[in-house]
Amino acid sequence: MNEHGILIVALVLYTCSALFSLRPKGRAGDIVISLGIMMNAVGLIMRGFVDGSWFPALMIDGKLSLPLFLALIALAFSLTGRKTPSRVVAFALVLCSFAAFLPDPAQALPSAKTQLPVGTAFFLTEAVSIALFVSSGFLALSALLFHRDTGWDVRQCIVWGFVMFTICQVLGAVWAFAGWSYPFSWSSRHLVSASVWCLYAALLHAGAARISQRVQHVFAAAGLVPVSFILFYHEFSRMIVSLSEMFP
Amino acid sequence: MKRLWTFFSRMDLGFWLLILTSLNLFVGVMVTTCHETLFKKLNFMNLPAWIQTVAARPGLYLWMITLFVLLLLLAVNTAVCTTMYTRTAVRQNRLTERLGIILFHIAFVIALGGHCTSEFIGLSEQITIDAGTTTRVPGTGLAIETVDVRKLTSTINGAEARLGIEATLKAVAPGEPAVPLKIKTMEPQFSLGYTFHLSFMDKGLTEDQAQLIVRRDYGLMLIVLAGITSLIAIVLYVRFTLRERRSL
Repeated sequence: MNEHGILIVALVLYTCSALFSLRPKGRAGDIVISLGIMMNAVGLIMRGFVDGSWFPALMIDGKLSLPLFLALIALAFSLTGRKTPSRVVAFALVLCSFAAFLPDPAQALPSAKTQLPVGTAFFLTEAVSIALFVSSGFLALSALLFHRDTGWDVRQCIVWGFVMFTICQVLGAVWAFAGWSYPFSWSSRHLVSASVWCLYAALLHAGAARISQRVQHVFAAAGLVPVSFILFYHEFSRMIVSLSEMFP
Repeated sequence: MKRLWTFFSRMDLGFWLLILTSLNLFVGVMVTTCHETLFKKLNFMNLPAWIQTVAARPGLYLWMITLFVLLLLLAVNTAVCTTMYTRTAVRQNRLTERLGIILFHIAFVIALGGHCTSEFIGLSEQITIDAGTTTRVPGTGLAIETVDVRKLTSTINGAEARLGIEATLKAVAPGEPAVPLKIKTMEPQFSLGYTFHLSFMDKGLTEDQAQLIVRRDYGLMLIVLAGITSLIAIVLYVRFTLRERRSL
């Protein structure tokens, strides 16, 4: 079975685990999601193998590794007895897995950009933080739309997502300096990262600034927009350019 | 003066400034996506010089002016709030628990200062080097003798993987002996007060040619300091602050 086939199996397992998690009792959901995590990891490890050599940098693809980290977050919530957040993240996991795994992923090739370990560390921390931000966004949406009590979980995802995203930005600055000569560039990729960082920095201060929880949830849910821009950067960029050509 | 201090010490001001900055940056994402080539030039120019070249099209840079105003207000708000927070922490004898947060805010202000320095007084020149020739670097007084340029490629699974560019150079400053440089993409070298980088971009260039970036950026020192400080702050935050909050 090739890498794409394995990722499709992971997608099926994730979908089954989300359905199992709807049951009030039992560990079937946890077992199935763990199998999905294993298949997802195997798919990513296979992606790193190119022509007999293993390139760790090729494993960490933002879109393909996002479901893996979302699944780990859902599992962590479930194992700590937080069933509602676990179900919400499992729902986000299924959506993200469909978007990431259904299209056949293009073959990854090693390049000069992927040779520096700091680049790999950058993509790894980015994928983890994005998974935490996506979780916080869906948890905030569930609080807004279905009045679920997920305030504490949203906060935890934002705190840890922000910590990881800050480390990611420091590593990214080192990588960008080594490769492009500047730690920050006036490009949409760097600007959207700065936008995400500012948004979640604001949300970290929201409690102390006495901002209502509803407003906090609105902004946490709105965070899904710039975060999706990072994940689907090329697709969004093409769409914006096409729109600007239609309406000059 | 006291009223101004009170105004800037408000936490909710910081929250809304961060939200506005995030929105402003997202507007920047749209603008830079539509005018990618124009903004790429800004990475090798000072901001005032770049704005002069696009002065007739305010739509391209108005968002940058509002961004700088917001960042200035944010820097003042951060400095004032951090001073107040530190004072309270010292008074309550809880500096250790709060040192992570204090250091993180200091790092943020230092990073802003570093980026500002880079944008306004940094020097960056991109030149095409050609094996066997000498090229002058405008604005630096340096001359670059190119001994050799090598493009590293490999055929992997039938596709050409570009693994970078290597160059052997000699940098000659007026009145000083020539300094040998052996640089590669992703592996810049520091010499004569400048950093020398090889660009990945070699479209339209021959096998003996490459793009060399020569940079002198004092803001970078502040950015490095901010990066290290923020990483220390994160360690302290996780070690002391989160532990304290969990035990409450």
